[in-house]
Amino acid sequence: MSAAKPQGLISPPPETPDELYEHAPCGYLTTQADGTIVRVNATLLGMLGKPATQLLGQRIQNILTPAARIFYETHCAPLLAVNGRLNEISIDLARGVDGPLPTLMNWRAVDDGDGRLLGYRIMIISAIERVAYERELLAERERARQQEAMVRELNADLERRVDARTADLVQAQKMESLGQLTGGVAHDFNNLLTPMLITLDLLSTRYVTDERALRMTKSAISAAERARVLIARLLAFARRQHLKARAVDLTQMTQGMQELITQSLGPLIRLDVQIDPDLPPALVDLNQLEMALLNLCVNARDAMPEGGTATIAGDTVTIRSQGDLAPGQYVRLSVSDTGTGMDVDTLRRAAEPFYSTKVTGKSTGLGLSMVHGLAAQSGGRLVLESTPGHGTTATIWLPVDLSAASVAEPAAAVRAPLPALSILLVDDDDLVRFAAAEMLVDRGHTVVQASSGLEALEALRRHPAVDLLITDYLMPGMTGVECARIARMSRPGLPVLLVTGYADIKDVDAGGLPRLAKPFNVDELSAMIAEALGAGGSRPLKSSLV
Amino acid sequence: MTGNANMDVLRRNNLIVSGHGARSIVFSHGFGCDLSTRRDVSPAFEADFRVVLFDHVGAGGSDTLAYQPAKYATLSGYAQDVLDMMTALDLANAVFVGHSVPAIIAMLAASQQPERFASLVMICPSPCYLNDGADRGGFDKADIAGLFDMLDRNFLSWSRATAPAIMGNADRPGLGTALSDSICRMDPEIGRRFARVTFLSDHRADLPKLGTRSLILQTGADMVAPISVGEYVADTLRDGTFVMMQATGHWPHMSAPAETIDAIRHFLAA
Repeated sequence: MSAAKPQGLISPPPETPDELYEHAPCGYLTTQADGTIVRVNATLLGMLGKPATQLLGQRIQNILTPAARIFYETHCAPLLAVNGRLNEISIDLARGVDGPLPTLMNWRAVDDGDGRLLGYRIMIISAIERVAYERELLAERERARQQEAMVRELNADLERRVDARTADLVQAQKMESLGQLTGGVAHDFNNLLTPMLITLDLLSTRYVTDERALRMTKSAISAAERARVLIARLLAFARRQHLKARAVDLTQMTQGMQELITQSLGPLIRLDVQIDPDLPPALVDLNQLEMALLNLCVNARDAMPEGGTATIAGDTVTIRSQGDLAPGQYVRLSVSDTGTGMDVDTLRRAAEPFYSTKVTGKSTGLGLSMVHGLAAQSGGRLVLESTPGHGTTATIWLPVDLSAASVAEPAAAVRAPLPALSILLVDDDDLVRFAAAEMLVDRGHTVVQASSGLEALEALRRHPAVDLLITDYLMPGMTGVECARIARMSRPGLPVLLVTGYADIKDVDAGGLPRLAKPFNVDELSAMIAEALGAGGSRPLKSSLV
Repeated sequence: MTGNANMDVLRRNNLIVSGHGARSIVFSHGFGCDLSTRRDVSPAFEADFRVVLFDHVGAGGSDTLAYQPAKYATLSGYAQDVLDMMTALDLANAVFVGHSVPAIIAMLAASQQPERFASLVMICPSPCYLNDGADRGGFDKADIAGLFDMLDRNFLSWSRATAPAIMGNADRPGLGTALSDSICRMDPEIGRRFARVTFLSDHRADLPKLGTRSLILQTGADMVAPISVGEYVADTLRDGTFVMMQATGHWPHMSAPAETIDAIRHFLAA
């Protein structure tokens, strides 16, 4: 743009008082102290579409809309009284049939110089466009406010879910660590318990004749037996028990247990069984599952001291993939109660070993831990759901057995007494080996001892007439399975019995060898020897191991 | 109530106590303003009374963080605050002067714990602003909707101008300084909610429950609470005295403090 003075433009003449007041580009009026209008300019009359006679002598409140009157009285009047001015007040004037006229007003008090209020000078600008814009702005702000609230709620929800997931993860890691610790401790205790049980067994059956000493020995045996049960539960929780998984018909199993369960629940609790009769068989250890179901029923009873209903239900579900679970079909066996329920924290910790809400002495705190371990080791899981005051449901998920229909429990074979055998006994733990040897000798067998796989192979070479190899599985240098494989190279068909501390080998690793879990007593050992002799010739080690 | 809880209440409602006397008089400010609107009236009672001034939550020097939408969605939430304060100060047989909606708040509080109130002074009260058949509150729904709209528009610009004063609680000016700057401070968001609670409430049914002796001070040309409403309140209360003032407008304690002081004194002396 050129800086030169524009050519041909003439400045307007100075304003006349009439032009400055009457036709100023804004409305203007003067009131007395009580608001009575005494002067008004033409611009305002034009804005309102009214003659001066309709305004003069009126109080200014009377030309406000009803809403504006409240606003004036509640917000403007006190400000005016204290400050003597109002700036940019957004307020509506009444225009009769034309509807409200939104305006912006400035007010200024006029006094006589001594502080006595004479009236007010008021400037008024039409704010129709501005108010329309403000309304849009307000609507936009309201929308933003709602969206912000929504985002805040979503965030809070997300945080809650992350917190819950984190807590679940921490709990899962804790369970894993507890499992490792429990499994390790239980394994070592098992090894200690084995010679104790064997020795006590021998003492009571053979060497102790004094009645008092016999009583003491038997009480030591029963304590050791209890320790064995406790360790078995710990191993179950640690998912390291020796499971004999096979097809189990849940309907049949529950029916078979119904009387026992009813007795356990007591007279105050009604039992309701709802199992789909066409339920496919589950792949699980039957004995362990029976114990688990009984455990859950006892928990249900304890949750309903005033009585109620315990429901055992069974159904199936097919999943793509969920957490640790493989995709496929699962059988679900659940026990629900109508009892006291658990809060979130209790529920989360319920399956921890030794965590119990029951009165001390009433519970081992291992019931749910054992069920949890069994379900997980079987390829399923334990799901606990509870609402305080509305009961608890414990559901065991188990993989469906896809191989064949369920098999009935084989009838225990009638065993013939064992002939006197020449046995090669291998265990790196001297205590276990000595005790087992004592037991075998006591039963009339001849025993050759070895403390490692290599030693055993050497002994086999020196004693070719050995009838049976009994070997520990986990040993330094060479495992029991490796030892058996090499032994059978020179002695094909040699019967082998594998002794395991806990389920530290999978079935396939055992090469189909008969297994005896520590700790064991005389009868269990004899039974497994019989099985090993029976299997020796007909069941060679699987090719992968030979 | 514990000492800490007392302190919380005193801080929450910006309580200011002055004056001397065995009896107490509590002044409550009206919708749109704060305790400073009482400056022309309350000092007149300091010689004979323990004078208590306070701000409702959201106004003046109150703790705006104490605002809970659910609690203050009805006037009962504000009435609870009044009782909290009276408990914290151990007030009994107090005179309560409430202007506009706080007159109704005080009525609800006094109905709950009458022993704390010797008498109520209700300046320009209205139990229901909406017209309802023969009962003329003075406004129809469109009027009230228009008010909310106008408040929003004004708060839009006021929020910028008033925000620093509202947020600056820590270095808030005292009552004696810069009064004109601190008057009518109101958190805009709380202000719009308070407007809805005030103008949409209907407490007509609560009037007969009040047994406390009450003075209804009515002005002429009050654009918010018409004379007929003041008369209705006095007639419906069990012990209501109606006084028509010379003053006009909704703020007689500001526009005509002397007449207001005389009317209250006369009532208390009777």
